[in-house]
Amino acid sequence: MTIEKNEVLRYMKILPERCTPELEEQIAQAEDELSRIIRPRRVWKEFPCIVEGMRLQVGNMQVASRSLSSHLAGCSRAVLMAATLGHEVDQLLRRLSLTDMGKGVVCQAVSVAMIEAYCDEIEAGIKQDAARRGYAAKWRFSPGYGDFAIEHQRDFFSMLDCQKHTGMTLTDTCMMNPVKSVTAIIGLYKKDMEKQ
Amino acid sequence: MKIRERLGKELLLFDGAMGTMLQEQGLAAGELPELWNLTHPDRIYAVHKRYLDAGADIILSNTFGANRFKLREAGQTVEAVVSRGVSIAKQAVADSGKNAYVALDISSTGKLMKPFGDLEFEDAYTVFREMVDAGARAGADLILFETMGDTYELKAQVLAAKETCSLPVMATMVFDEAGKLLTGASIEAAVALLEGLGVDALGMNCGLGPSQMQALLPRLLAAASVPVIVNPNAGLPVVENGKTVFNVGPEEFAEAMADMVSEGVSLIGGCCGTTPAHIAALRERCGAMPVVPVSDKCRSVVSSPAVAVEIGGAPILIGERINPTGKKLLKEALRKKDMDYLYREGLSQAEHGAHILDVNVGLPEIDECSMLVDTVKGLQAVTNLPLQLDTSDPEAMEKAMRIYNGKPLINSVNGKKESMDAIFPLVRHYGGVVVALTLDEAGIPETAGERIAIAEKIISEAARYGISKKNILVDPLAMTISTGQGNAQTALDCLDYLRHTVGVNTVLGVSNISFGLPRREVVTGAFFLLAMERGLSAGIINPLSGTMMNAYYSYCALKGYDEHCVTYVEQLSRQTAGDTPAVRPSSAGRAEPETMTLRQAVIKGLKDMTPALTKALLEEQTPLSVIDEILIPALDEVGKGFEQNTIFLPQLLMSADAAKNAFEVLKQHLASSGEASESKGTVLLATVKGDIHDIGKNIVKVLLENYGFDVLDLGKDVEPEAILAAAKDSCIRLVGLSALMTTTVVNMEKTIALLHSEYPECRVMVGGAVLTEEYSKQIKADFYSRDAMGSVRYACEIFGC
Repeated sequence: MTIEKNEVLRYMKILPERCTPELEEQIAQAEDELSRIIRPRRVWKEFPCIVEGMRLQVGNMQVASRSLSSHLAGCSRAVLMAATLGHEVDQLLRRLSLTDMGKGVVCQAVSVAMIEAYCDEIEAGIKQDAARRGYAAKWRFSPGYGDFAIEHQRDFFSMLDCQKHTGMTLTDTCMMNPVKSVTAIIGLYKKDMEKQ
Repeated sequence: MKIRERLGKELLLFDGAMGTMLQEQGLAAGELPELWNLTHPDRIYAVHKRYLDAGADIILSNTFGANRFKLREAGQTVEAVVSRGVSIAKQAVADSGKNAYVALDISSTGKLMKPFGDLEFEDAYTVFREMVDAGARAGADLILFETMGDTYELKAQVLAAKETCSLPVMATMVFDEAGKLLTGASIEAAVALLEGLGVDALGMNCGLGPSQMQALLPRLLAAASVPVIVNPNAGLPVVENGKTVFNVGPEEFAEAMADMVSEGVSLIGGCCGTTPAHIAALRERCGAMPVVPVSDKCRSVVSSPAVAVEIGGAPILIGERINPTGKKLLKEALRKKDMDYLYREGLSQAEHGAHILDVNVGLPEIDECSMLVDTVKGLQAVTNLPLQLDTSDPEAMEKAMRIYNGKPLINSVNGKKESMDAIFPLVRHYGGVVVALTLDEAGIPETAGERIAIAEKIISEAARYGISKKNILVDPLAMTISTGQGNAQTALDCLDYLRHTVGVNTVLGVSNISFGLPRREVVTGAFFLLAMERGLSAGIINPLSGTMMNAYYSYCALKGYDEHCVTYVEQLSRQTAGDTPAVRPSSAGRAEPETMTLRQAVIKGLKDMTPALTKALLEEQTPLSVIDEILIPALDEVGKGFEQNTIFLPQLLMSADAAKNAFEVLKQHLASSGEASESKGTVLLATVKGDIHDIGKNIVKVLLENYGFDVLDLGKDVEPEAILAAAKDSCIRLVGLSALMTTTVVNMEKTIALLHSEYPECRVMVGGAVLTEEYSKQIKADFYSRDAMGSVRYACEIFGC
């Protein structure tokens, strides 16, 4: 997966034009180290999707969310996806918190860029697969965005069997482990609807 | 016939997928299959029956996820769902008229245990115990933990099974193609843990198809001394038209499984995508095959959550530094519960090449039991090295062995009856390799012969508990040569005899040999070489000592343990001269001009350079003047640069780490001259209940410590009550709380309210990604810190410095 240096800088709240050669090297080193330890895993499944007003149903999941309903308006299918970089990244970040916080902050930002890049790859694959069947896809939307309640993580985890396929787990407060993990929904609609 | 009598002696067939069959009958994604035991028992019965008819010897009850977490929402009890699941399976076996068995099928809780997740080890244990209890009472013939990805959860499961009933216990895990569990354990590490706990059979299931499992099989068979199970999926999943399918058909499946049976597998079956037709094909193709007898591999192995370390090949290094004996700073850290200091001691030994870390936290004035447990948990969260649990308190030993994730090294048992009576039952129950000291009621014998006799007595007593020689590491005791000329010779003669004649592995606390002598490293290093040559399997040493490590690298190169001398060349080429310990140079450790000052090194964040520069300055300046005239002004310059946006967070933190290393040197200097280092005050930090993100809190901590504050770090996911109790307990004047998610800011608000009402003299500052000034006022925080420096400034204000 290829990451954007500017994305990494953005996560550290640094403007691209202010980046120094030292920082650039630290980012490259972090990317190198992380690439060696990540174990990316993913799972995705497609379900029928019904949108009615601000409510929607995807497989057995019922959601009341204005932002998600309007995002998925017109979609008749939806893909739920989950992806993670694996537990090793979490351990590295914990270790760096103790020994080298500066590097820890850079690795943290690079790992966020990596999980995003990984999700981009998965999303591209899902879009390709959908296109073959005459569907176009919306961009991915995660629990916690807008008013799409984070509690719906539980639906994602049971419908996708996340733990078995990816090793991801949820806490009681719906936070994901490993920390560098993402879940998202991608709406699919018939291509002939596109013009409407 | 009972299944235990048949295990490993004949081929036994498991059934195939349950989920796949139920989905075909309309089970929806996300629906709990176990509830069908109550709503559609006929369908579950029919699946069992089909597998029995196909030739399965062991069928799995439909109880995979029937734990209290998953059933809670459905409003069903574990007792009802599990006992019904087992009875349906038993009915199917009875109706089939076959000599078949029902395995109580149990998988993960779906939650991750602490320290990474939010489930306590003992809570996980209780969840499994409830399932085992219901299943055993309903008449299951054995217990199968399957589709497992986490060794820690496996430990809770097997203990729950063994402490509840006497049924045979088996476990199968999901490995990836590289032979790792999802949580990171290698095949060898998982086998070490499970065999230590005494499972009857183990193996792999799910995740992979037969051919991928076959590729991993040699490693599994080489490690395992119990019968091996292989239950693959019907190939790797393929997505077709938005649906997942498995493409390996029954004949192809059976053919691959036949190969694995001839390699040594004695229990086979199928997982996702396999059907009664697959099991019928197994019966047809493999049913008459003989099994390869299972042999004890006689490997001495300890393990961590990630790796296994085998003792008996190239000598193993056990890092000795987490032990308060003679270490002022470590003692102080233990008294102050400065756990990070201990973890850093562990990490630096790992970085210098230790294979195992000794953990001894015994001090008369602290609660050793809880300290040992906390240290073990914390170390296992940051390092992958196996640990040597080192305590003379059997209660602390048991608690630590119970929560240890892996198969530990245990230090120690000795020839006294009391010691063996206390320690061997623990080793038998929890697993481990135990260090056996050659002393008994009469003390330490003078002669090698007498010490060997004690070793032999310990070995034979261990055998009575079923603990074999491979799980014993004899320590013939190195006594200093300054009090007895023959001491080294006695120890060396013991090593030779024990290793080569008795055939048991050995260990020594190597540095004891030089106690009371000047420049101890010189003679210790020489003794270390002699000891390795005479048969030392593992040395307890200081990996930060260049002399010791050079002796080790030389020995390995000379004895052919270091192929092409790769490690020797790599390590020694890093050293400029003589004794410098070899640390891998970090990014910041590039060669810099020699004129670098401490101030510049801090500003540039060169953490590897600051200790030497500080030591040099201490020849002319007092520690206090180094702090006031150099370190604090340098930090201030960096801090201001950060606030003015000319310096970024990574640089700020690198400077902080560079300064921290300088402070460590100053602390050591002060401690050795008997002075105490001064603190500006103690700040309590915590990430609030429900939140597991702690990087922000850790950043604040590094900076506060730099500015001379002590930090009491309660970690993440901390209950409001725990924060209040700790704050009151330590008379804290300032608490810093962090929360990253909007959903957990609620708990931040609760914590603030509790602190303000019960402990009003304490101030609360808050920070975190979702917070704003306005939001922080709403939840009644005393201060909102928009960045890490903000919290330093506020702390200075509160403590008036």
